[in-house]
Amino acid sequence: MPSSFVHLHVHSSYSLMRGVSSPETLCRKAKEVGFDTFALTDTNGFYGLIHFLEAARRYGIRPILGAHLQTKTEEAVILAKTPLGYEFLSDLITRRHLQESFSLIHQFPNNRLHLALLSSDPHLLTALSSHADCWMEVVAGPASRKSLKIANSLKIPPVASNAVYFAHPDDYSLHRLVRAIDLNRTLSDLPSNEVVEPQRWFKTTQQMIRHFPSSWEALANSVKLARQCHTAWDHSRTVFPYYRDRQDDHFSLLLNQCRDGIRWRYGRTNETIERRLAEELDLIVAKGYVDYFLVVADIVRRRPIHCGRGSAAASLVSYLLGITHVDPIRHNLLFGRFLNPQRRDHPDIDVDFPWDERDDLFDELLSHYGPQRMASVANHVGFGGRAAVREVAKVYGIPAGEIKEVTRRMGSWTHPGRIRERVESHPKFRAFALDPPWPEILALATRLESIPRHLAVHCGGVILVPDRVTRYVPVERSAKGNNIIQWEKDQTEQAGLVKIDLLGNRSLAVIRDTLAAVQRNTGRVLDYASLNPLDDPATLELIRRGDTMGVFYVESPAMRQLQQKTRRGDFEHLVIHSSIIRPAANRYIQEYIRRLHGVPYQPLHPDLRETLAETYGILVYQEQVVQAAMILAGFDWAEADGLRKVLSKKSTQQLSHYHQCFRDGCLRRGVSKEVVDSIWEMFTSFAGYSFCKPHSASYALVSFKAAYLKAHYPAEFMAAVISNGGGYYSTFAYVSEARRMGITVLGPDINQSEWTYGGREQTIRVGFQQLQNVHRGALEDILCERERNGPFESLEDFLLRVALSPADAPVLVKSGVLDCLAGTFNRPQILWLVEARLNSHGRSSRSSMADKPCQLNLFGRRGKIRVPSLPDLTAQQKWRQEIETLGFVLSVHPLQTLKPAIRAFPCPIVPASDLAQHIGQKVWMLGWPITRKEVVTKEGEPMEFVSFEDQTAIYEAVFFPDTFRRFCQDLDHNRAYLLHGRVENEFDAVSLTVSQLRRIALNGEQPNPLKNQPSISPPVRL
Amino acid sequence: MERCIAHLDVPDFYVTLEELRRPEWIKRPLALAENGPRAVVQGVNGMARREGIREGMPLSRARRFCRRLVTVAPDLSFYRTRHQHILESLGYFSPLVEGALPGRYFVDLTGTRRLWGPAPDVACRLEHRLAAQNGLHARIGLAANKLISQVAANCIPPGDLSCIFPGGETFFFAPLPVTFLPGVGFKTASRLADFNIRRIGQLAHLPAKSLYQVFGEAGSRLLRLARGIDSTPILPFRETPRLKVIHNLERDEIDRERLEAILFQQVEEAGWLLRRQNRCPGKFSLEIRHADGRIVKSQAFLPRVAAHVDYRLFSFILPVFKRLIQRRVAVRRMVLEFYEFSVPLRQMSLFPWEEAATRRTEKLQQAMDHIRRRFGRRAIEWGKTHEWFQAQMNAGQRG
Repeated sequence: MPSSFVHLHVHSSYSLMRGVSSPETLCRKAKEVGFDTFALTDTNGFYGLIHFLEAARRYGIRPILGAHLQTKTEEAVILAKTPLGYEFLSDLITRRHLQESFSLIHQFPNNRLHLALLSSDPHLLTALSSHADCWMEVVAGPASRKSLKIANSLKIPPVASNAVYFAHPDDYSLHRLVRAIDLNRTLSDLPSNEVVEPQRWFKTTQQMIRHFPSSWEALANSVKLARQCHTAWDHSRTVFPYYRDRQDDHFSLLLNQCRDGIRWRYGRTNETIERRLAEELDLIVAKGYVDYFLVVADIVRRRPIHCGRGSAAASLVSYLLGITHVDPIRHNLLFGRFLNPQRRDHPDIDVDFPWDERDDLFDELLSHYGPQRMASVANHVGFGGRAAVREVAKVYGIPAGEIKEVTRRMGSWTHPGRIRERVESHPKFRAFALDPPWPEILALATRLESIPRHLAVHCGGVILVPDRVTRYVPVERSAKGNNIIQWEKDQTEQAGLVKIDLLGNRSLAVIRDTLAAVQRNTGRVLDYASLNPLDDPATLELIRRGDTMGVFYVESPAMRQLQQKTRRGDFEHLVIHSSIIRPAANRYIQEYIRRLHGVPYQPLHPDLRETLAETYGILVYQEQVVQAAMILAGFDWAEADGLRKVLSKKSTQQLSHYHQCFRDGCLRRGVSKEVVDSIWEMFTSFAGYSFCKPHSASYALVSFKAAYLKAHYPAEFMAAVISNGGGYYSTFAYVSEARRMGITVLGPDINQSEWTYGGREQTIRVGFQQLQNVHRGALEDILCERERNGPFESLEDFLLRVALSPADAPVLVKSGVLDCLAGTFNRPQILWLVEARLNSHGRSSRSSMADKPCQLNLFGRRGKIRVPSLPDLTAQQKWRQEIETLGFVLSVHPLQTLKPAIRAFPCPIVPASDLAQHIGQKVWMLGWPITRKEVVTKEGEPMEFVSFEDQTAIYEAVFFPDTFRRFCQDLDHNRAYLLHGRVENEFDAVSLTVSQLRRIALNGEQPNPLKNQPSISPPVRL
Repeated sequence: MERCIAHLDVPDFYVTLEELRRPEWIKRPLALAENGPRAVVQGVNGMARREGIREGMPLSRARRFCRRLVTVAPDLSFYRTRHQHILESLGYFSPLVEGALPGRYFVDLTGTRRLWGPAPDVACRLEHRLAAQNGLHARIGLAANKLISQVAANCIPPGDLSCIFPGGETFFFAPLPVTFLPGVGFKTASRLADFNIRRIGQLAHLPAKSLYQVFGEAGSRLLRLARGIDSTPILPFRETPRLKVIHNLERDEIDRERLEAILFQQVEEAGWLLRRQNRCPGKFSLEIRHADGRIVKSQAFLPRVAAHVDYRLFSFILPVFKRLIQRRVAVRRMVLEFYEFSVPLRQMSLFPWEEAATRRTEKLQQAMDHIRRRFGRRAIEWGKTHEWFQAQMNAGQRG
């Protein structure tokens, strides 16, 4: 039976921070209450459009597309009646976001055929009714009679609506909550015009009829309008990046570039190359990727330092075009993983660039390809567990300190839906009482799951279309000022827009900076592209030892331990290692190491012997999963690739379907049940994330380049690592590592330091970037002045030439930056001089400098500053000032500063460098935590791996679940511990299994010496 | 004439008074704290301090430190009477006695030598008297001014006397840390520490001009303190009448309407008391303490007739409340204070019909007060403050 009412004004949670039900929930609700069509009209956007179409298809709803356009003064729902109407509407939404002076009255397109406008604003309707298809929106409620009357008088057909903001009536409280979060208000002082009424939920036809007892016309009009709207939406066409050139025949352009590439990469061609090239080009043409390759090749040519990654690294064409740098023929990389006749989705090409060059590159591309054609992909930022709790607690007026106590126990990756589980079971919440209103807050925070909050720029995805982006999707401006489309990467992909990923990578910047420093210091010119140190003995040895802190991709504790255990430093093994390190693959890693060291093994199945030979019979790469599924279960390629995708997306429901198919397939082909089970178990270790071989090979090459630089130019390399913000570890950890490598780390210096850290021979000079709590501008002024007029000669000279603010000066002094200008003065005296100058005379002379610069020369030095004799700082005081101004103790290891506290400890303390001599023994050790990783055991209990260091070396410590439960609340960053535990050895990698942990009191929190005496009374103010 | 000031300091005054009341607690760790889940420790005895419990610590944490901890709610009126009592008994020795804080007393002994004998002897007698009459042991500093006597008292255990003779101040001060000086808090001390000035002696030796260049006006004050110069007189305490209505919320509250209802209850309470005492306040102040410890406070004038009717009084206070409640942090405590009282005398209006409306509300208020006098404070209430109304509001907020 056709319904007598259709909802034409419905908001999903993609009406950001207003709606609360997902398109899926709305479709389910619509189906439940008997609607077969409704319109999704999110505020100012198509943010969830593809999800809506997908859900509508699943629930058999005919989707109507529209948007609720809202400006400060105008408000209307606009529905797309035709596919062309969609393009008009998308354009209109874009203009709403990009133009300051947007107004519906002036900019609504002049046509009745493609768009319908629904509004309850008589002013807007009168203005537009002459040239647009206008309808009066009559929202159920007390005001509906008035609206009907106006509609009558204006002769505009009325349409009944309920302006739906949530699927169920009990979602109203959630709506109020997100409004309060959005407006930074509390629930009790939300302005009434910022929230909707409680009855704005997805009502049934019967309920709507009851709201309009006397106006059948309004109800019937909703059906009439719905019938006029297009509902057979199809977003399955593919839109590729388009290369624009004077030459029309893009294929021959690509072919010519490949020919040039062969000459560059190989010198001359041979049969293998030719065969592979022909095969690849055929597929590229068939799949429509010609322009895509040309565009990416054009982009990478603009920046010499880059690294193509992902499955595209398997392509000879991308190697020839200079997109990737690993020879796919030599390293046996299969093109099928990237493009395949059976592959239906569209893989994209990912390229990494140095992180600080990416913004410039974007600007360059934008001006070259034109802002109409190019836009970044968006990220839909939702609520993480911590953010959800924090925001709800703020609405409840909980003070920041108390919120932090809860959120810091939550772990950074807690999903909002699992907050409750975490709070109830995690040992960090043990003995931590959550008094009211916390239970209520946590329950509400859980409900914020999957509600998008705002848009951000995706870290690298861009789309490049042949005509205008706004034809496909609305564009808006991000907080940073980039043009972004309204879809995130999944919807973009589903809508058929093929994106290019241009990602920022810190390690490429490290390599670039090191190369530049090497050239500056030694005159030696190394070229990034031709640096190919796969056979360099020093590099191989460094990787073999696992001394790879700072080296791209292989610096994590787990990776370094794996290197130590395997004792292999060659390229092929590094590729395997960087793939096998996966969260769920621990068991197979152990097995791999055993086999590597010569333990004989049987292949899982005779048919897999050849496929898995290079990885010792263990599944390591994604394509091996695909191949194994094809060989054993007889999957075709598409099916097997589907399995791979589902494995990495962790969808339990789809996975069990594939499991069934796989088992059936295998059994049919006579594979025994045990083999099927063990292979399936190995498959599931690919859950979460896993890599394909081309990707790993591409990254391993970058690792090799970085390792080469670390081996031959350690100071320059470590300085570049720290300057670029490091990777896995903190700055302090890298400084420690540098010191262990025999490099002297010098403090910042007014005449020697640059903005970044500088390395030369065996020294690293701390850069100004390390100074904390100083305005960046002030430091840049200093550098600029030094550049222009030479080094500073004295304190007086410095203070005259640089305008320093009284807040910045103490930091400069305390960090020791000015020590070299001090002459006979000690640090307190320098501070005295500087403060005296800036407080009284300094300030007046500076203001006169600004007004009348020439007067300074005449009266510049008014009044003489007398610096009294002050005692110099002790070493301990200097350390404290270093912590304050640099963030860590620079002149010695922080454990050195705690010597007095440790001296009284009765047991001998083993230095980390001697750990290997105590295997099997229980020892006490000192430790300063460097990095930590919490994992969950097979039984679901949390445990933690922590890397500690002492003055001599880094060592790994394991907190098994029992110990973790006891000590997890004591373990913190930036403080020292005494650890007791057993030294374990596994394939020559030594670690400590902790059984006891003790905090060492920091200097500030030594027990009160007056403890047993009455307190010092606070003085009476006189 | 040479001044001679004695400073008596009874450490942990409140707790010591509690111990005197209940001698069995002397040997047990004792903390002063209100009841309730979120109480904060307000005072500790020696035993508790040895267990690591400090003032300002949440009681729940203190209990985790020490399970045997005995807690007792502070009885401020009792402490106040004891304080008054001590002031009176010290007044026997000198007309100039200042009770700066409960447990801290300055006694000006200047010129009493011929009457009482040498000052150190008098100071000892003061201490004996305090011990004999009140059972309290004070530490006594005796010096030429309030500043030095106070610092001197801080250096010794209770029951002892520290006497700084004129001329010896510099030597006494020189080795002490700068934090012993009143007015040198954490901020100033850490600023001085940057210059490696840690002892009062170092500070006192700096030339005034140099100190001025860095610290400005505050420099000369610091120098005066460091050199022990202080000419502030002893100010005998005088009480000004005030009416304070304090409400500590059971649970931190952010809901505006509920807070307004609580404020109205406070106003009613105050109005009731004011009308009973026949006083009209000229000013009021409202202090709001948020859950994170931050306090906002504001004061305003009141027209003389405001207190006749609770609603009218509330209408003057509500705008101030709305101005104060700006932060998105829950409220923990509200203090409403009235002062500058006068007797409600009023000139009759020339145009009595203009006052008809106010007369009617006043009559209503009088009737309510009458009912309350007869049947008790809660016999009749405004709807706004009624529990049923509150419950409705709660339900409305949740739903």
